[in-house]
Amino acid sequence: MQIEYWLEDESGKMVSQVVDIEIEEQASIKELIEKLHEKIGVSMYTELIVDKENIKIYLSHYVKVSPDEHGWGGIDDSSRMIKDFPKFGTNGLLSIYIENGPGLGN
Amino acid sequence: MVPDWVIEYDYHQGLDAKEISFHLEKGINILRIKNFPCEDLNYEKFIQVIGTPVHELRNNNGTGVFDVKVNKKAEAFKSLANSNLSLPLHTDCSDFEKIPDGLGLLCVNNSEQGGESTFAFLKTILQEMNPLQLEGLLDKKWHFRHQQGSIITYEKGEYKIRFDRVLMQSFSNLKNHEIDHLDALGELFEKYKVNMKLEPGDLILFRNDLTLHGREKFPQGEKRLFKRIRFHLK
Repeated sequence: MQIEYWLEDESGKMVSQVVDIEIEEQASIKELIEKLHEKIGVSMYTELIVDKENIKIYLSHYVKVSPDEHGWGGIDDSSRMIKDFPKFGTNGLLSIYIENGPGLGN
Repeated sequence: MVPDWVIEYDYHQGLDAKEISFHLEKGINILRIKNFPCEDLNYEKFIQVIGTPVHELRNNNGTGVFDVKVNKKAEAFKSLANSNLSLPLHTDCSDFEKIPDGLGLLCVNNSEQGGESTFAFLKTILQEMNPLQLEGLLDKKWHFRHQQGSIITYEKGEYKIRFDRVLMQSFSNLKNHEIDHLDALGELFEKYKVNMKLEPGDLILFRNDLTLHGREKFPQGEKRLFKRIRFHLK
């Protein structure tokens, strides 16, 4: 299936791309997110330096739940099937925002 | 015994929003409200009287409230706030163009061991800083992810602070002399650190741009839960 994903680039701008993921809509959103990260070559976590130690932090994920530009919603239950999520991305695709910014730091 | 840097209120005795706003505007003290109800809607409504809450995607159900509690899967935490680790003194949202000047932390449950909240007041730090150090902090521009700015600024007759060592080091390529500089600064801030252990129902309010805050480490199994609202003062 095709999905749209959003990621913050080096300058802090949110950029989107559409990718093809081999997965059934009956699969869970968790499986989709794992496959998405694998496909785009982005690690599922980032590392923060706290007191000279590297601490692993998971990136956060949100799904577009309304046509509004800022209409993102959290994923409360990652075992929910893909087909149960609304599709408000470009051309009616499922749209996922991967938060990889400094918000993870505090 | 209430420390002299704390102004204490009791929710049951009624709260004067004007007086609270006045003290936050001055930004000299930590305001502690005892017996505050631990419920998101009421909490946000109260904050809306004195300021405008910052709504972030990761907050609870689109509100201005974020649950600061341990959230760990396998080897990774959901965010640094969602860890049990010690958080060094910092200001929140240092990477924002305009940092929220108010911060509320409502203690629903604290850890039995550790988990003390820590603070350092910019006013105290400035009193102890020599003019050359201050000049250096006003002049040097640092990267706060995509924002560039000084650690200390002077705006409308008032000094303000923006500092987050974790963000500055994790999202920028700092040179060794810059890391040494931040180490020295961190040591200076630690020298003026005060701490407070919050009890369930304690809501603390303080200025995010005039006060550094952090917390001490606590055991991972502890059910510590604080509810955070970042806000812009009215």
